[in-house]
Amino acid sequence: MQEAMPLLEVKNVSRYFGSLAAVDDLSFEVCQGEVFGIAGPNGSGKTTAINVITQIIPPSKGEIFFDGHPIHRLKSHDICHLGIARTFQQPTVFETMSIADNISVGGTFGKKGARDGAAEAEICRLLDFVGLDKDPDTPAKKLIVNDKKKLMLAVALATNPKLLILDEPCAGLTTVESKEIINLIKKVNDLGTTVMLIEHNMQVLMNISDRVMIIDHGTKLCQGTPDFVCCDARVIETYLGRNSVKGGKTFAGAE
Amino acid sequence: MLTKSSNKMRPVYIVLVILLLLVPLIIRDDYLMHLIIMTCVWGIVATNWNLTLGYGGMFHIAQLTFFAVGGYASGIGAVTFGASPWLGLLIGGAAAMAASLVIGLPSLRVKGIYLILLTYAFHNGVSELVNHFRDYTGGSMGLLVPAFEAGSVSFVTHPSYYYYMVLPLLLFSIISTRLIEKSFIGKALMATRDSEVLASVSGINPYKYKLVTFITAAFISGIAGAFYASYLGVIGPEIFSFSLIVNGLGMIVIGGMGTLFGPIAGSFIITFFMEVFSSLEDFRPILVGAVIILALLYAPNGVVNYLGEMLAKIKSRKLPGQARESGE
Ligand SMILES: Nc1ncnc2c1ncn2[C@@H]1O[C@H](COP(=O)(O)OP(=O)(O)OP(=O)(O)O)[C@@H](O)[C@H]1O
Ligand SMILES: [Mg+2]
Repeated sequence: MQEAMPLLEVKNVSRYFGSLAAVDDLSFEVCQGEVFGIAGPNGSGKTTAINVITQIIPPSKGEIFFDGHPIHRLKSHDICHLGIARTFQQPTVFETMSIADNISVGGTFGKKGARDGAAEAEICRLLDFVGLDKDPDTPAKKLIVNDKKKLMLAVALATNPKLLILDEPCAGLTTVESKEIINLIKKVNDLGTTVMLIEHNMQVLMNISDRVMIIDHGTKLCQGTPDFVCCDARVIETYLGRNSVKGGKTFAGAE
Repeated sequence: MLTKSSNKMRPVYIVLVILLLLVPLIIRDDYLMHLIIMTCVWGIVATNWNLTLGYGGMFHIAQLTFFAVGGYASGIGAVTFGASPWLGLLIGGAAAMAASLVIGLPSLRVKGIYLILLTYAFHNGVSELVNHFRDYTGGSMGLLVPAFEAGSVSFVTHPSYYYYMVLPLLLFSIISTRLIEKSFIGKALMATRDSEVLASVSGINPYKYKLVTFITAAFISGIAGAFYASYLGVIGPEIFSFSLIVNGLGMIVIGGMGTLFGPIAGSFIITFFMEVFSSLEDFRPILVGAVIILALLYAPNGVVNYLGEMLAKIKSRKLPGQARESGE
């Protein structure tokens, strides 16, 4: 899988907040079809990295290519049209809209020019796919956090992405709920979508990822197959070592 | 395009429109008709303001700028160029649309308090322009604007004629709001209001949809401004006063932000309130402020939602067998 062509190329990207380099000269590639895992301590710049890729926050420096297109000067919606979808660390949905309308936003606007909206069948299929067993007319604000996360995932999938970026989808979930999400991610990947996954739980990350990157202070600490990364001295020192005390699970996501 | 619930409501709407058409036949009092016409004028402004503010989440005060620009444009058209008030309606709408481009292009790039401040600066800027070009605008005296006439009949002594002009404009505002709400534009707008970040990563260009609705709403408000100038026969700098901004926002908040009929209910309440307490003169803005605060305390979602909830409660009391909804 590693020989596959890169779908996403991040080249020497930096993002400063004042004097803080939240992302500092970061370079990496995500290959077609893989699950690319990212881990790192709190505040190491993981979320900022994907905010920069999706242009929620423009990069201060560097270049980003997706599917051959330079995307570091595009707007978020153009990047979505090219085929990148993402979720957020905080469960984010269109609160006043119904479940069905939430999903149909992704279906209606996710592809350039398409305006006919997601058909009812497609909405039901996505709800079923993410395991959200609720009346599609329910307002999103009535959902519990876990269901909001599923809905957020369904909205992202409704745009029919080539690359799906997930920011700590399992944070704050029980072990059972996490398993459910992990299986879902595997299913998405099996259907051909490339996945980029930020995850604190190293067991989960090692289990699902083809390749893993550890970042710290906005720079790459180490990258490779899960086995390789686990043996890296610096990773053990700055990341695994500290976390293994807590059994490999941190609660960083619960801000 | 219409949903099931609006199909059910259709007979109600039809009866309502017929009743509205009959209003001048029922109300024979000119003063009362005047208040109703003013309610409609403010209803148009508030409905279009609500389209951008309530549905679109754009907190701006430009709607009154558009209203004033519409009024002055038609006034200048009539006084300087001899255009008829009928053409003035179009001139007012077009001028307001042009103003919405000038104001919207830079302002809609920012949000929240910045948007309020920026549009307020434009509001004062236009007011300054009016003051500066007093040869055309009449400066602090304002402009005397000719009344509408058809053939040789002047509308001045016929409030009902004015009513039949302004009512379609109000209905058009409501219908266009509804159509936009139900279209993909409305979906993009409401998604952006709920979460601009999620909307943009879901493929929506928030700026584009904000600008489109901003301009649409400006056009109708400009026409309303032209109507207003010709109806009152005068347009002066009071149109830029801060108390009108408070009144307009009050109409939306009291009636119900982001609801179809809220702004009209709010216009009715504020217009009649201002009249009832007209003897209080300068104290009225304070009273309006107090009413807004009371409404926010007791009906934070507006009177329209409040009445809806009350109705639902009464209904559930009539059906004791059914589980009562938990009070919200
Ligand atoms: N919008 C912003 N303005 C200023 N500083 C920011 C902003 N966003 C992030 N930062 C800072 O950048 C650094 C990286 O934050 P980021 O959220 O990317 O970390 P993270 O790896 O996602 O952490 P976590 O595991 O807690 O989610 C932090 O020090 C954070 O305070
Ligand atoms: Mg983060």
